[in-house]
Amino acid sequence: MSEFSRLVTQSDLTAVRAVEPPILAELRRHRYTDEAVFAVRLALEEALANAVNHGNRRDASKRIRVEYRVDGRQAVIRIRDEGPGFRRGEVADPTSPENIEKPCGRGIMLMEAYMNRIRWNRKGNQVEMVKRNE
Amino acid sequence: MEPQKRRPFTIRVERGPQCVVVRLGGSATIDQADLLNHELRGLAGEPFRRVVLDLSDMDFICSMGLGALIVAHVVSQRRKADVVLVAPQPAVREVLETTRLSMIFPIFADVASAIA
Repeated sequence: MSEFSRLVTQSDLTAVRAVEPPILAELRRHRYTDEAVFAVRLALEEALANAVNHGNRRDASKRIRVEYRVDGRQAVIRIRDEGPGFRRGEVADPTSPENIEKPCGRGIMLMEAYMNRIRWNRKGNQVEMVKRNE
Repeated sequence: MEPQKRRPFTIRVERGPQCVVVRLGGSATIDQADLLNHELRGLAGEPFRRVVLDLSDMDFICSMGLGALIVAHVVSQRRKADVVLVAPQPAVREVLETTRLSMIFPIFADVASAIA
């Protein structure tokens, strides 16, 4: 089993996207479907945005650490910020009538919808996402 | 959907007497969301009865991009105007359906139908 590749990026919405191309290239190398690549790209964007906006609160002095491992069976991606963490259970349902017109709060829902598995560490400042090649 | 062919995000605005058509192209990624939000919020505040967002050339949207659409919707509603969507590509339509935003945005097949 291959080892994880590791990347560190600035906490900035433009800079942080530099982690996407190598991960997506690995997916294509292992012949993941276009739908799977779209799903990973979307989940990556959401996780990176959460790390920049909510975890590191757009503090450019903080860093975001990304680990990934892609093989023919599945892609595993971990994203860690330097923030205080959060509890998944305290995030409101963005599809409920009282929240549907709020501009924020859909990132986690999309990550959960498009990936096969999502889990956070105990502190809540690292997410691990898994997409199977199926 | 062809994720290998990344195109830059583009916004083209065509103002009519009653409607404004906003043609979005490429990928609405997290680093473009502030720009999209700024543009749409401004247009939603102008005296059009309808903001038409042509999504036919847009291949990707993240939740921050969706947030920009919602801000435009809310600003327009305060003025008794509305925001409608045109021809989202299948992957973008699926994102709209997953988030149930397809329930609040009318979706038209083409721009002509949306401004009629």
